[in-house]
Amino acid sequence: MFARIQLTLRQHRLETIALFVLCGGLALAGVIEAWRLNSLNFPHSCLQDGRVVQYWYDGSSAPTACQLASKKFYDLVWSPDMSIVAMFEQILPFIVGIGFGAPLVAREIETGTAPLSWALAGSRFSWLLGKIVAVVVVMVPLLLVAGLAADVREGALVPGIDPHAMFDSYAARGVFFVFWGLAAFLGTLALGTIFGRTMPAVMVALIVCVFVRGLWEPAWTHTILRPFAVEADYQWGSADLFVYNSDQLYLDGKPWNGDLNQWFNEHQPAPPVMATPDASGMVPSSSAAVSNAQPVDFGPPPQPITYVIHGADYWLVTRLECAVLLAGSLFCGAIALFWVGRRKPY
Amino acid sequence: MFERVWLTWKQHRFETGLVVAIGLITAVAALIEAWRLNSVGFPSSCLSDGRVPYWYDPAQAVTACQAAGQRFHDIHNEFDFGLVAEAGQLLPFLAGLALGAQLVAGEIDGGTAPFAWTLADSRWKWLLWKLVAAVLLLVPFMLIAGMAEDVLQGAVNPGLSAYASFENYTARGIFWVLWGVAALCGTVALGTIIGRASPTVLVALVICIFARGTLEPALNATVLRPLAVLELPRIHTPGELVVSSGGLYLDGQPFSGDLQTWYQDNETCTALAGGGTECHSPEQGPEDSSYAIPGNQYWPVVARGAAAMLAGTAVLAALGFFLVGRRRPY
Amino acid sequence: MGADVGASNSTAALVAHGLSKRYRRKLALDQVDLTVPAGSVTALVGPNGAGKTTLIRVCMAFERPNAGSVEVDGVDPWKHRSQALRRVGYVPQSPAVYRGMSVSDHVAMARSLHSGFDSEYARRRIGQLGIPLDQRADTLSGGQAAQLGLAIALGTRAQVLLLDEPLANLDPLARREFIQVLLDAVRAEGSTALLSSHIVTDVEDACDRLVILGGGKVLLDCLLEEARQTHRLTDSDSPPPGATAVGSFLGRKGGKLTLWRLAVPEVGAEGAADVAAETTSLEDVVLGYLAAGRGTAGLQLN
Repeated sequence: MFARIQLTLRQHRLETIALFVLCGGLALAGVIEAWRLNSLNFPHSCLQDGRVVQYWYDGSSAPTACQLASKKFYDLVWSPDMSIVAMFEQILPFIVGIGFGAPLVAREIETGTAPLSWALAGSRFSWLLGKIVAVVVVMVPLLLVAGLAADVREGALVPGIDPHAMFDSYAARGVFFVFWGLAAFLGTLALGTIFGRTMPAVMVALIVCVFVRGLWEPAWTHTILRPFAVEADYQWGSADLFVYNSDQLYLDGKPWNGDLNQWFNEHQPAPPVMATPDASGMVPSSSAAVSNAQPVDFGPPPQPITYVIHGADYWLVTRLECAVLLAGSLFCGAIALFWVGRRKPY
Repeated sequence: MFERVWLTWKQHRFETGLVVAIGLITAVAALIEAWRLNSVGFPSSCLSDGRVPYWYDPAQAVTACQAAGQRFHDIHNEFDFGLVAEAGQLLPFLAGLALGAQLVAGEIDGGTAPFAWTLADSRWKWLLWKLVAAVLLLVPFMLIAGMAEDVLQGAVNPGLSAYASFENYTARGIFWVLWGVAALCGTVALGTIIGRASPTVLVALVICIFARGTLEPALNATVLRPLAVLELPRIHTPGELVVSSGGLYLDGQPFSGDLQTWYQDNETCTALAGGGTECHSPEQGPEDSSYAIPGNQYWPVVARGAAAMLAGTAVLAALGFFLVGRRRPY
Repeated sequence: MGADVGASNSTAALVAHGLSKRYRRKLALDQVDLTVPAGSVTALVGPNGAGKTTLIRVCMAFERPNAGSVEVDGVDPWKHRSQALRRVGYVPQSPAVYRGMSVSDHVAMARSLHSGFDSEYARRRIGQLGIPLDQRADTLSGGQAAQLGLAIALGTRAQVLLLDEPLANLDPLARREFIQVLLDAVRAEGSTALLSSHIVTDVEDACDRLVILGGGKVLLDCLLEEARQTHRLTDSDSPPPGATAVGSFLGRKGGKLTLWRLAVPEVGAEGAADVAAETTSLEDVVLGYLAAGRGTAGLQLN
């Protein structure tokens, strides 16, 4: 078994080296960035809802110690190196997965070694399964290390909340690294087995991954996660996961079905004087004009009910989504195993 | 010449198809999204700084503006809209990478490099023609997509010309072409070193992401810095490009002292009738400043950015030529 | 680089002096001295790993020699690659074809890459072999793909043809056809061919010179006829008069055979008495040298 893993990794040594360099490098970078943020020792008493509130000097009053600390904190948060680390955390599992998945079968077909391998192997199924196992054995721990480092960095970004009790970038850190990596690996493997060519598999996989990753959170919040959502007063920056707004509007806790425009017309202040576009077509700032409209205290307007999943349910959501990812990965793996038994080796 | 270009496209027909698809699909999608936003007919009188504002607090809403704004943001917040609007962050690279990886690494990988390199009058000319064919393909299709993204940007901020705003400016317009060609030349050089197409794509992708993340700060700190003016107080003008922090300023002069000490020293305290004192901070203390380039400098900024990127691309291309002359064809 | 270097009217098409090439620990070419006369068809024979491909790759400027020099039609390929390659037509071991492109596309590509490429000539050659021009090149049989490679190499109208084991993967009929096309072209154009192969019987009728390469060294370099006349094969250990042993190997019937190099060339089949146990063929000569070059314990006599 060990020899087989070693041989597979040697055969794909370029990908293996890239895996070690990328995962190791990102893990190290994540930990270093977390350490830099933690070294600022942002006072816990200054946190609001567990977070550091952004601040800049407008000169209107003396900055407080909290504001000074916040300034330093965000100078670091918005630094280019931090942005690059964050960007790599979004894509690393996909790069690793695609990097291993595309050549595993397609390259053997392309370079003409598939007939030899398939003729020598007892069965193509066990041949491919052995290769998959070899890659997974190395990929999983390395991606887990990188994912945990991303958790550590997220914890440093939001010092007052446990990263495992909030949903900030939750699908781009922690164990998600492993499951995204597996999904990308087995999905690309299936594509490579079907196409029999590496480059088309890489390109199609990249585009599919962008779509899947982009659609992932909106898709699940509206489907499998909905039963776990509870009515709550969601605010931007909370530890909760926003799920959806009800279509029904509510006023004073009761369903309200009136005409919203009419309601505002009845309750709104006098309309402000609006600015008109100048000769260049530019509309000057109308913020001053809008601010002239003084709000009238007529109570909260009709609003939808917001449903969220509390940060405390982090592990529940993580388990569910990872299970879906794993099921998808296994499905793709099954396609690859099925297809490899049927396709020509050239 | 046409035959040579045509044969190169035919040889790399998958990548050629990909570039055409990327260009056309992005252009059509961006124009459709722009048309959808424009169809809302958001009243120009409701714009704030040329943008469609969010109204978080319904108590401050102006009814007609709110209704149109809601429709506008419903479209703006859709996933497919985000995908089209952010396409410029990835697709030009993908187009350049796909072509670049196949141009040399694909030939080495596929075993056809000895055939091509022994027949060619020189490897230098061979690569030059391949690059010409790739650039002739990339330029029009990336330009179409980039210009459609400009149109979309114009629709996102109806009161701001896309060519007078730096919002998302390196992910639209001519930058689609520049990123695509830079990715092409960089990947050719990388592919010549690695000699295998798929690892080349992935390594190049990592480098591209790194370049994408660092280029703007680098441009801001170098070639664009001379165009920036000090903004004091820190009030942004619509569409401007903030290139760097200007530090703290007090009464038009840089301030380098300790803020809290300054406030303590400048407190005005008055004795209260019942004893004790009441202290007030000064009305205006040191404030943050920034160096920014106003939106009307859009074209000079684009020209400088493009020149810098083209210079970088030329270096990468030269590296490719240098390496291909020394590389074994297997 | 603008001026044409070298001399195309040189009597030697390919000259190597003290040529050495090392890949890390393995010495692929070891002080090779070789001269291939212009207008000759030379067989470059040797076992796998003998250095045949490396020698051709050095001539094609794919590899840089560690020592010594090589000249192709009077031009050093490493110093003046473009000039050298203009004089060379190359056929690789495994036919390199572009996936999804037709035979005609390959000819068009060669024309676009190589100034002076005679595409009509190449098309005519391909047509004579019955290969459809519109057929996808990656669907050609091994023999057809090899013929396509040869037609393109001939279409360059190069004075020197370097063929790197083009026969290795072909069936006997395809091999014969390939050699016939090659010989026709070489005779008609007066060009020079260096044909690397480890299938001796195929090159026996086609070539006029023989170079045996073993362990990176030139073991024998002479005319084909001279090779036959100056060697004798026996099944005994006693040498013919004035002969020196080259090497021993197992015969088809299992007995040990020894190849001897004669001091005086032997003309005619009747040699010295009690010597000729079997008729000495070119294959025997090659086998004898390869056995010697391999240094097989127990079989090597000298």
